[in-house]
Amino acid sequence: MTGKIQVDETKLRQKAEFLDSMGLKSWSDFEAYARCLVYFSEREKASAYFLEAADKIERPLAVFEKNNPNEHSRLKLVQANYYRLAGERERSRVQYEQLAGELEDRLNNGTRDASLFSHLSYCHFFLQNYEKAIHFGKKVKEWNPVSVGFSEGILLGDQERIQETLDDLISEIQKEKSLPYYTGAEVSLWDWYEIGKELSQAVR
Amino acid sequence: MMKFKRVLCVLLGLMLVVSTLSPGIASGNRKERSSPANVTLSEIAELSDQSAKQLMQEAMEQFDALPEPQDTPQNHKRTEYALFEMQAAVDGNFETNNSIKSSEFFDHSLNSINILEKDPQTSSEQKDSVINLVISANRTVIQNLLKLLDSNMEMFDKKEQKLLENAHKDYEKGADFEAKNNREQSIHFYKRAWTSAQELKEKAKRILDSDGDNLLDEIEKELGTDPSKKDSDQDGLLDGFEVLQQYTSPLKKDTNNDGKPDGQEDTDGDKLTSLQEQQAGTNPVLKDSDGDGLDDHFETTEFGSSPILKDTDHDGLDDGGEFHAGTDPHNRDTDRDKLYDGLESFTQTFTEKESGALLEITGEGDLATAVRMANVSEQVIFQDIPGAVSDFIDISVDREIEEAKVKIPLEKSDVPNSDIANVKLFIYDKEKHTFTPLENQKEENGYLIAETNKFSVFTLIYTPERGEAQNGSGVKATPEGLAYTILNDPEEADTDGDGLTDEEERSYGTMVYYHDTDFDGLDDGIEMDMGFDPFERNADGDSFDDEEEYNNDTDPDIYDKEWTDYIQDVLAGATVNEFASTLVDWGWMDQETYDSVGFLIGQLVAGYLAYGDIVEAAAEFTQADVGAGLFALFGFVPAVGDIAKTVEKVVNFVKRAPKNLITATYEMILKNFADQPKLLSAVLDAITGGASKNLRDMGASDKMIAQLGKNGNDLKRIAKLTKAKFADETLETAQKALIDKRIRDHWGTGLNGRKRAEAFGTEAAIWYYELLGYKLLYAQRDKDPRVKARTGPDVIMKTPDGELFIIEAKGSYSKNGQLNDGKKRGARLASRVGGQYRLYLSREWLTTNSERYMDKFEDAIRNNTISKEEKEAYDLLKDVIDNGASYKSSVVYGGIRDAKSVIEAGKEMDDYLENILKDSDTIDFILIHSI
Repeated sequence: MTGKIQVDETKLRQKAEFLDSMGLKSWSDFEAYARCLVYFSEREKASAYFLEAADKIERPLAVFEKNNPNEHSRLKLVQANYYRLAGERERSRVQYEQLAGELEDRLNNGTRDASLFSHLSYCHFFLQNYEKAIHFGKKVKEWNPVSVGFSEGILLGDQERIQETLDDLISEIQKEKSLPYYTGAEVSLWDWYEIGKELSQAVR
Repeated sequence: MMKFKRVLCVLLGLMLVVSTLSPGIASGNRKERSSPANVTLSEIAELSDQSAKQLMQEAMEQFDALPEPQDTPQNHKRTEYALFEMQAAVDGNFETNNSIKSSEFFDHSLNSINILEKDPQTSSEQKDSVINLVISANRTVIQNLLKLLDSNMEMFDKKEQKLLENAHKDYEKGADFEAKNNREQSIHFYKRAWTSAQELKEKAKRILDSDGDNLLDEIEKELGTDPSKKDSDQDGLLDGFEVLQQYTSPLKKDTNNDGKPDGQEDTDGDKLTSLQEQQAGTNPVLKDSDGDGLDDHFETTEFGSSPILKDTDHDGLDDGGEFHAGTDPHNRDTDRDKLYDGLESFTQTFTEKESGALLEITGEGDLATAVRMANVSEQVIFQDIPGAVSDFIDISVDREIEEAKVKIPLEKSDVPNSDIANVKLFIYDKEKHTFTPLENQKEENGYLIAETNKFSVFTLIYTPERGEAQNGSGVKATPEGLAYTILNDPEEADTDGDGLTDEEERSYGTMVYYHDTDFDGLDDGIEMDMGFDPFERNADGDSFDDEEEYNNDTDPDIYDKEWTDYIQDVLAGATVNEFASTLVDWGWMDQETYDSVGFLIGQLVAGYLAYGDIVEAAAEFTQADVGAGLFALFGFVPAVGDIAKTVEKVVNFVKRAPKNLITATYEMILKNFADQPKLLSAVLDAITGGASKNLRDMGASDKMIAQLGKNGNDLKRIAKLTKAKFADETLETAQKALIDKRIRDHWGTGLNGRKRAEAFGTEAAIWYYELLGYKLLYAQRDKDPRVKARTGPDVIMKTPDGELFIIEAKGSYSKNGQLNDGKKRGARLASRVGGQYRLYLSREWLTTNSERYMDKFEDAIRNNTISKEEKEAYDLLKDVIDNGASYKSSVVYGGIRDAKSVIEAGKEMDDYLENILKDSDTIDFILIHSI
């Protein structure tokens, strides 16, 4: 693998134009638009749209708060990722920390689910608790959370591990035919891809 | 008078034996013990809930999991010898799970412990764990035996009672030493206790079986054989041998009326008559009694190894391996280098017969069980490889090896201008769809040979035709080297022709560029359709791989016994019936036989059929039709009357059978009672604790309830899901015609099985809900010109109350359709989205990367081709995704062709339904069978 993946800019333009024509209304519209802007190198503008998405996602969060804890915490993760992408580090950190606590409480109450472990691993990755990210991520038997590979690479200064994780990620993006503006993931495959590229250079 | 006294003793003994089959024996709790220092005498006194055999098995498994030593010890100090000693303790020595035949069990156990204790490279904690299990197994053997004798004290005279007392004293000394962590002394005293107790057991058996034919006198009376004659029908075979091993009638010299007495039959075709098998102690219905890969006859008359020991010399290389490697089965160290044969490396050669391709491979022990070769030249994916001049051979090796050479026959006449210098041996990369030449190739004796450390598909390619490859449409030759990458035809939905589209393969995680991901001989499409695991060659780890299960019509996820085991179970149930627990206690019968579904079948059939008839029916079975034949016995169970009697037996069985057998019981119920509605209903009511009534109220048919039970679902848990609904519909002719027309209109004609099944599932779902007044807004149909989504919801409708209703439609066409769940590879109700498995119809599945399907709606909006209904579907979905709006949902599963009568709810549906109801207001599960 080359560690790089080609972005289809035409599709990004098409998406942005469609959103412009319809008018941006919801969190997914704002997220998709923000993601297009990132690839158009309009970082600052993208941050504002991510923050708008974080604001708009409060609506479904309010619906799920009482009757759907799984989806509530999942969307909270999505929201924390918006803060991170918008450069609001502290806000993002606080939210990940709070979420990690909530998820661990659920774990202590007997919930055992691959998604729960995966989400905990993500939280701890962004909180830079790499050992915990590995610990929880390895409990997921059904898939390999990306956070595990990157955490192992960071902890051990292992360039090969990071590259291997990045290659798997590229293969996953290709298999799923995922596009950079896709929305609603806890951490998008493309976010992980960007993180992987940075780590790859940093460790090198 | 003496005789009367003996009978009284037997009866008293029997009563006591039955009374001791209390939960104390069967389910005594095993306490976890962290270290030997913590072991107390009271803990030792408790009976383990694992059998001695299971404890030894666990010890061996734990040993296998120990880390490799950092330094290889000298040949005579290898730790693996401890494992070989454990294997020797078990090999051929258990007559039942807690009962052993000889005191060698203790000797081999002690040897293994001594070797382990002296190993400097294994940590004390790891050693202790294995050693504790071995000692527990030794203790369990004697504990069970003493308990049995205690409960039959009346059978012994004073002198014998004194002997039993001494055995107890020795046992207590052994336990005392165990508590003090003196392992050698503890095993020494356990062995002494066992030796005395075994003497008494033999004595008791002589009382219970006065003629010594291995059949209890009480059973002989029941069957009509003579309790004072070893061979009632004078065919040369002991009555017990006929009933419990040979499955012939002890009352008829020639059970199958073929003119040959039963003793002269050779049922298993191993060239040993039943009489010879009886004398040799081998199994008369298994060619290879000890399962070492060599027939009984070959072992006894040619190779000279033991036919009842898998590894005669206990050197870690079983007798089959000794034969293949050319070593001595009676000598642990054939070449006298102080390294046992089981740890030596050997070179073995394997052949793929059709092509003549060879694999020469070097590795530790016998590699025969680890190598698999298959000719895959017929596969669609290999049809257009330019320059291919040999067959395509798939090779897999499930073992670490030292070296391997692949040798493929090279026919000069197949190569243009006989230019063999330009022919190379290539290996196929199943993930990347690429052929790469192996390094260091040479031509020798008509073979092209290359070394390899990777295994996949191998073939010979004439390389000058690369130019053609590059110019051709489907193959790209890489600029450097000689690799070939086969390009995808974008129009080709199923590149490897395995019945799954590339899109589906990516979602399930199966190989896009190879038809058989787990290399078990079944295409991925068939495995997915039938609910098999496309990633496991032998999903349930029994003696049949998935392909054999497919051919045998058995469940790949339920452990299948050898066919003879089934017969044994049934006949045991039919013959020993109420004496079964006695036989288990005295070591004549395994607990597993007693707890088997076959045993239950035998018990049930015995109520309606004479023993002789059952034996004669069983004598007709062959290995091929045992599944069908066995269950055909149930034709004898009357459809009406005696329901209560049958139900009572099933309920009693379910109460005492281990949990893992409950699913098999449901399978038996389904296979045998499906056509007897009253009986089926009564049995389900009795064994589901009221859940079946609730499930019926929710719309489930009895067949569906039994299917859910068979597949391991918790019926009580499902019965609590009040917002779930079920239906099980079979179409009538007119209804089928209507759906067929819709398929033609919206999907086209000439569809392959898989596509037609998908079309049927979708159209049947729409038909079903339209009848209930729902309105169709959108469906993923092939001929739909507007929204071309291939992922996301299959069907979107609106309920009569205007609520969003989302349907996941599935279809099957092959003979054993099943829907399985679980957030994992291969589950048909989950797919990989954003790097994780997510359940179909769940909110996260709808919301994560929703653009994967919503973009297609947006394309139609942009192009102004979207219909009013589709736009409504889009808006409703947007509301769910963006605002958390509520929705209702359904899984509709349609069966056509071979699948029409067998589609069923699969595994983990309880989890699936419960999880979906966290997101969706309601969930339906509907089966629709074509006719």
